[in-house]
Amino acid sequence: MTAMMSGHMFEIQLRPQYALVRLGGFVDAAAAEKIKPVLQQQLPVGTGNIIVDLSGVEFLDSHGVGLFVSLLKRAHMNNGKLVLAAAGGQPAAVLQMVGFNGALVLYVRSMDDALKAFAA
Amino acid sequence: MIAELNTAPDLITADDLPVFRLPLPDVTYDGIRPLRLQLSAFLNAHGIAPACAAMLALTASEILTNLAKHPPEKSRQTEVKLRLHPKFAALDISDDSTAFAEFDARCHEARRKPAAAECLEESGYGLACILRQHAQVSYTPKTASPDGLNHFRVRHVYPVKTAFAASAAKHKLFLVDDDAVQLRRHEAMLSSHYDVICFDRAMMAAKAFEKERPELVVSDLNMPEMDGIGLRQALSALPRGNATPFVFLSAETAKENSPYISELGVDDFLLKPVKPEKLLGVVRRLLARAGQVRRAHEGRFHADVTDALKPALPARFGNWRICVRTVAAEAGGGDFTLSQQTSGHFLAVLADVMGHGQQAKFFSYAYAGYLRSLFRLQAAGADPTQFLANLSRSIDGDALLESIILTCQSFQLFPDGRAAIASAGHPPPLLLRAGGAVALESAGPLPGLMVDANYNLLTLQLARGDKLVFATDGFLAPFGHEGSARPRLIAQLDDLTETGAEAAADALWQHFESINHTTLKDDATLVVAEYGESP
Repeated sequence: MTAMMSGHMFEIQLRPQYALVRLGGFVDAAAAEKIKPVLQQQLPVGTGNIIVDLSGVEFLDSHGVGLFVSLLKRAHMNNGKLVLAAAGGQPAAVLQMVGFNGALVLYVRSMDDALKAFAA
Repeated sequence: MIAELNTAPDLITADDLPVFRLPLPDVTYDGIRPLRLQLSAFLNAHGIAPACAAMLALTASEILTNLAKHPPEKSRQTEVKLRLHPKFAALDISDDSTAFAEFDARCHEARRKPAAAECLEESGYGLACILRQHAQVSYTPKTASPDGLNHFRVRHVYPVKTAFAASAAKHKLFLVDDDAVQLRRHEAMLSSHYDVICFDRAMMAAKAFEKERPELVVSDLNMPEMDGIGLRQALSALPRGNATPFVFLSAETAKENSPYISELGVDDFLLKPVKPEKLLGVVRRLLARAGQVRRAHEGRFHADVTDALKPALPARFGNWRICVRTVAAEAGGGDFTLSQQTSGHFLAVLADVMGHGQQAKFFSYAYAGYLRSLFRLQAAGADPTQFLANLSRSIDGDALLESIILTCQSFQLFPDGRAAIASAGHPPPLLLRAGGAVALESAGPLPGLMVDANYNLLTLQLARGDKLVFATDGFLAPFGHEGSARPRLIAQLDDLTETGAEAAADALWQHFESINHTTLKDDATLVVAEYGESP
């Protein structure tokens, strides 16, 4: 499922071992308001392992962070792991600033590295 | 497609400072994005470092999102105003919505908000982000404002690195003449060699002097309002005025040898019309002389500070061999080390204060003293993360320390070959062992970025002959900034897995010197720690 809305990009792909959430553009309050209900609807209830591809994210604000927390809760609930791939520049600074880290969050440099995290 | 604002910002200059001002008839989520882009473009156009610009754009976005979301009575009179001062940016967002209640209490709560990954709350990080980005944040409700509007104000002090960004530019000169033809003629002679700022009124040059900090002034003598003599006297009253070479350019031969002008401390007197080679020659000579005098003054200070900061660690701890190689930049950010050891462990800190120039060197000196005290006061047996967390807490809320960017790596070595490492914004260390070199995953926020920073402890068990390599940005920069992996460095290290610490440090240092072709602007430090050498 892919949606290109005004100023941001959002896509979910469901794979056997993980769900891939691809975000791009501006992940701010306007984007979070639109993305959140779609995420809740599209992500199967039991999804634990989630990869978020941030390579296309240009801007992240505190409302965007809320999306990541909702994904982390999902991973937490289902004994999975949240992998954040290719977070750079401003988005990485914001995630660090709010303390988005810990045992269940794994930061990797690229999507290739993210896929290795869930390789059988 | 991003929604467009119906209004464009006023980009004005007030009191010689650039100002961005944009009134918003109403505040909506969709309207915040174009405003943020316009604000970013303005900051970029005025040379504000991208990291600073991103922080200000985020803060404006958070404040406006809050206005769009929360107040029961929405604002109908919102204005975003950003004024760029030489050392800080002042953001003021005014509105007439229902005012925030208990702002101070909210700030208190936001500063103590736990890490997002721990509390798992999906909202409420906006104010925390603002407070973590800026040392000075204030809110005045409309009931207490003379203009009847709420004001959310933020002052963002540029980091030292930004303040020195212009140091590599051409020499900056002021050219002052009320005759427009002469002004353009002399500007044409000088502009290909120097950054020339022209003024047709001496008063404007005097006003701009502190902000622009020219390295030399060339001025006409006879001008209306304030003449050349008046300008020279006005500059004498300013802190750097007397140290800045001053040249008179005049058609009045009678004044060339005037004792009054000589007593003013004028460096040269050129008669109009002046030939390009004559004008350029005088400017070049005076700038060179001023540079010599400045360096002579700075040299003593530089030598004293550099000696005091010079990174050094004990050569041995138990079975560990520790080698340090370092070089100090002519004038720039300082690297320094701290260490302590007991029979049970060895704890060290490698720190790098960012910035270029004498001022950065001075800040490093002051910072090193502060860190040394903090390091000594920590509890016995503290691990590397505790020191970084203590440091981060001490910086938070201190405007001076927050304005300095420091990266820090703390590492602990144990007699049985274990090592523990934590990083605060510092390049990750590397591990050399049989089979090749790898970049270790050790990352953490810059000290002071957040109140309750959590630093991850990376623990390793080293085998005999394994080596840890720690380095500062100054050493790593010539190897390229390809992220933590730095393939060029890894390739070099792969050949050194079987080499002892001393020889490995020498080989790496020689390679660094061979590929570093520019004048060193930043200190460079390399630490190689090898486990397994017999004590």
